[in-house]
Amino acid sequence: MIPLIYGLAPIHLPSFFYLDLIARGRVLPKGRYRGEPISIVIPCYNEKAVIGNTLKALLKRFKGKIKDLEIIVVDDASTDRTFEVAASIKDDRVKIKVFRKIDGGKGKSEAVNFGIKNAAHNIICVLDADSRPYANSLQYLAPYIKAKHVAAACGIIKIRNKNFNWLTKIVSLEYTIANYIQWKKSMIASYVPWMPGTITLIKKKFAKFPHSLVEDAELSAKLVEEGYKIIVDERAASSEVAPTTLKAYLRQRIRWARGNWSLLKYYRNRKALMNYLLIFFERIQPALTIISYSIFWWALYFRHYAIDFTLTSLWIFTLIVTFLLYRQSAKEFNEKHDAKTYLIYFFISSFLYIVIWLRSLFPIKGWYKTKRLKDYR
Amino acid sequence: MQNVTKNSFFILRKIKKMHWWIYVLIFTLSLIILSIFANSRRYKYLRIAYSLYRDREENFLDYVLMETIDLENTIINEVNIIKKRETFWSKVSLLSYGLTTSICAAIMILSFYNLLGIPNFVSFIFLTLLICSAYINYRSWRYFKFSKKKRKLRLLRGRR
Repeated sequence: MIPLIYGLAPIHLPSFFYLDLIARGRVLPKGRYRGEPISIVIPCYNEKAVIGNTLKALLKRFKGKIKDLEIIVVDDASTDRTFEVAASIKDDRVKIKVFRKIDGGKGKSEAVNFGIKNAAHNIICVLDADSRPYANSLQYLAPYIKAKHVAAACGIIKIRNKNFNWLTKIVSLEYTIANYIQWKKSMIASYVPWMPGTITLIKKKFAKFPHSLVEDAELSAKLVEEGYKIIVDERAASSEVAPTTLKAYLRQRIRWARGNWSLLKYYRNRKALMNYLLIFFERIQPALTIISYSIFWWALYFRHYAIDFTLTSLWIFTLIVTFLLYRQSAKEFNEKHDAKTYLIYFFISSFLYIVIWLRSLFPIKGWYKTKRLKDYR
Repeated sequence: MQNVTKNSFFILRKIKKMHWWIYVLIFTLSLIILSIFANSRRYKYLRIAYSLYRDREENFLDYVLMETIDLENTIINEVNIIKKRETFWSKVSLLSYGLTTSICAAIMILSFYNLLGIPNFVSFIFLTLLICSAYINYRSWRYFKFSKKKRKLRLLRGRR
């Protein structure tokens, strides 16, 4: 039993990385938007429920504010009325191009690349069909793209249906923490951030999404390997719909986790490998901590082991840093989560993720696309 | 006079009995102070650079993200000097912060395996130091604000 307790000590190591992420940073100047034209590309597959509202929201927020705004909707051979809904929305000042791919259904990357090919401007904004960027988000991101070292600039994702049920509350907190880590990584030279597939501004010459389950992460890894920078600005945000059922959530996460294995081929360099391990540990560290301490108290109860004060200091450290990470991320993005959500996230999500990672070792059928039956405001 | 010598001798004798971890503690504390100093110097040069770029704000991001290879290609003398000094102080700050973290982490983890033979409370002291050092670093970047002051350029006049 004692070797087991001592053997589990390295689970505290990631806490040092979190503390480093919280503590360190770099000051990035925020430029002014000077009327750069932007093309928005929205790939869709059976998005009838959300695409109409998304287009209306985009027109409301960016019409007249972004010079030469162009919106490109690519219908990736949907079986519902996505094309008709998107084509019904017209505007006299903003160009809205709606394309329908007949040979579609080959994944998001093909549809996005098709849209980018038909874009007129050099700055591309990739959005999901359910993404509603907040006001001024694109204006905040556009100045970064002018820098020669920067390949892409992204915002953060917020959950629109946060108060729907316990799952959406947890997903919202999960996004907050993930956003915070991405934002801080873009500020520290020794970490690499990944751009999300939505609310991302990218230079047209770099916007060639590879054929993959996680095309956004794979393109980010490729760009970082070539020496380009990805900037994350916390002022730019977009709201999304989180899966409302456990099954839909698991399907989405299994698709991402399965896709993440394919990223390992980019991790020849040490920095990127650390990045990968950090993400892995970020998800499952609470579970490992809980397991290790259950063993510790069990051993103590059966007198296999005497109490160790140094172990306590490591435990305190892990708990402080984990909750500091949660609190700091919520504070930076002005979000409020109740104590119950934090505790459920700490106790459940990491166990759930162990299941997801184990399932992702086996192949999946199809794309595991999340079905959106309803829109939320 | 005699008393003073006696006292100082007594203190010296006491120091001789000091444990090795106290020296490490003093070294770590001095590293934290160095990190504070280095951070302030780093941001001073960043401010100077910002005042240089005040007419072409959009190029300032390129300056911030500039790396060693680009620095060699830079022809503008002022930018070169400022960037080199900023890089130097940021390296010093990173090194001192990194050393503090790794010393504290190493002591916490090695004492967990009982390899150091130090009292139990020492790992708590290093834990506190680690958190303090992290907080100092956090403050230094989070509350930094740009100001376009011309007078700071005078610092470079001697080098021209």
